[in-house]
Amino acid sequence: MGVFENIANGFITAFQPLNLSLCFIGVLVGTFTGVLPGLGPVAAIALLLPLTFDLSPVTAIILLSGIYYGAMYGGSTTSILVNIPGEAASVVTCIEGYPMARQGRAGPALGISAFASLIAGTISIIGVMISAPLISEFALKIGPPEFFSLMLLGLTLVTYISHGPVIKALMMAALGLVLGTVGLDNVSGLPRFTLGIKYLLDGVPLVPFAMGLFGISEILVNLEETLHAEIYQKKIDGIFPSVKDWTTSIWAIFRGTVIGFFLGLLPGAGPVIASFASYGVEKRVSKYPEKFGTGVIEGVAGPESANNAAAQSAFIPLFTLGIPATPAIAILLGGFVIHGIQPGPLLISNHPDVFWGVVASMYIGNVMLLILNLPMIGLWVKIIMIPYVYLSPLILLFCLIGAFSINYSSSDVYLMLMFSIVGYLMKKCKYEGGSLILAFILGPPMEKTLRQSLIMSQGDFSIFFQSPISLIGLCGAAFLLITTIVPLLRTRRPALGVKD
Amino acid sequence: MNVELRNRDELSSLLLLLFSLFVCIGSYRYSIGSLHKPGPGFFPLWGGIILGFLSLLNFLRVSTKRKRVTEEVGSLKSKKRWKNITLTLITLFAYPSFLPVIGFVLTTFLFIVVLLRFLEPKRWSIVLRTAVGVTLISYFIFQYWLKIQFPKGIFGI
Repeated sequence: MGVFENIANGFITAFQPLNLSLCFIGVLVGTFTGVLPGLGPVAAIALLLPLTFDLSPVTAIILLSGIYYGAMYGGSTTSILVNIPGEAASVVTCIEGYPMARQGRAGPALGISAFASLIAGTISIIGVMISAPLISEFALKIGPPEFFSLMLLGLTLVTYISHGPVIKALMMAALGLVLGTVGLDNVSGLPRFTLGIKYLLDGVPLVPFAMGLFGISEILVNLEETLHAEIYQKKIDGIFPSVKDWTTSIWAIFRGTVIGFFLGLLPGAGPVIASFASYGVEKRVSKYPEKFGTGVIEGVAGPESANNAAAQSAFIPLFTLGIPATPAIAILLGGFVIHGIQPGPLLISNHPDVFWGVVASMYIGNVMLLILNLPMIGLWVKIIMIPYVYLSPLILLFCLIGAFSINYSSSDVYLMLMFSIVGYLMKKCKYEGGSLILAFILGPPMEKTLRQSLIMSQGDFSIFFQSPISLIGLCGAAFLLITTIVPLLRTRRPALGVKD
Repeated sequence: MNVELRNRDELSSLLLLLFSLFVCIGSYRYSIGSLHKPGPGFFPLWGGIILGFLSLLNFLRVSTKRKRVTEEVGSLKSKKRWKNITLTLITLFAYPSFLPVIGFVLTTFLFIVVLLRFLEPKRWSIVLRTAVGVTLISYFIFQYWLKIQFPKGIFGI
């Protein structure tokens, strides 16, 4: 079947009333979580996962994916209006977007941001459609050693690009790998680290774990401060960018799309790095770089294109290799598995309806986001102005109900609450949750592929160096680890020498 | 007393080091196997070793720093902070305990009342109106529309 027939079938699936309405709900919830500081796409996807159990896999993934790329849109609204990024990938939009709002140009900033995201998203999805089947074909030819190395590289890249000291992110990754081993061992059937608790025989359940670690802990941290959102421009008129805005921004949009598409493929890089890279590029190629920081529209158009393009292309490693590129995609991977679908080289051939249905709904979702974000700006402004002390009990309630509804069990709720305390303490001590959750999800497949490789090679580690892909993966990971750890060993010595 | 990030880093690194020792000891009990045939303890052992090594390294990194890095992380000792966090956690843990006893409607109502009234005190009229509204909307969305079967409790609601 050609690409056109496949995408046509995908659209037929995506246009089914249930799928269409859930796509809408997904992008609405996603935009909402992007607008609200304190509840990112990871927590939002984890929150809605239990509610998708009765849905078909394709419908569930359409809903959950909508949340993911919806959050990218929502984040830029608060960046422009309030100078508070709704989530990490929107940090760069504050730099030019907020000054534009201060000049009374919030409308064109929001407008170009929405249109740029639509154009970039659409082009990026075409890239996904064309490259994913090809990569899957290629991925069928690689075996456990290559998968292990690629997953190791992906995990190392994510920790390398995290905030704060890399060693702390690596510690969280190691912790995540250990937590992933809790439960029955697949090979021997032996329970590991369950402490005699039957509840843990299936391992630490993903949804309450993620909701506690990311959702509730974030709210606990936010309750400590009063987030005062000072909206600079309350009345937004003229959301359509002018012709001059378009002519200035169009090349920034195309450049951002290309940068975002390729960076989104790399685990760890993703929308955040893509938006920063695009900003850097726009400043470099601009005829007036000294004006950057004062409200230059290309500084909004480029990064917004990059971040949305990366958000779409991040699905490629997930669909084709089963390797999540970011923590939010990792939760989506969890969602796939819960619905009985294993992302990887066989996804497209075994579940074409899921792949093409989700891809088609990504087009529809991007259009819905444009329609949602521009006319509904007034609503989002009102939501930003709701005092956090009203919103937080609602979000907490939603988390409690969500956790309970997984198995109608209080055990899930208690587990979520225990991990919320862990997450709170982690945040106070500046440890990253992203590398923890990624390692937690990648740990079991990494263990499986490691064991398979060693059994295949009869204990010979050189199997990992025999194929070029595996070699590149391992060398890349080793390089990143060495560049992190060696400086730490070096700087200690002068300090010790000078101590009295 | 202002708790600096450095102290927290040292404490957390030691705790994680301790945890990694527990993991390594546990892994031995599960049989490491051999390189030909890795056992159930193989992967967690290596995870534990890596975690232990990194925790030790981090501890040394932080404790041998010459200058005390006073990063603005917010003291854990501020009274209001403790009050809000403790209250919220108690209310959160109470929810699943009360749910099977008094049912979804009453538990949700009380949950919202406690948080709205005591986190940042509001007038009772606002608190009660909001709590009733939220409870009704939650009931409609979760019990009626999404058909989640909550326990009915002793009052049957």
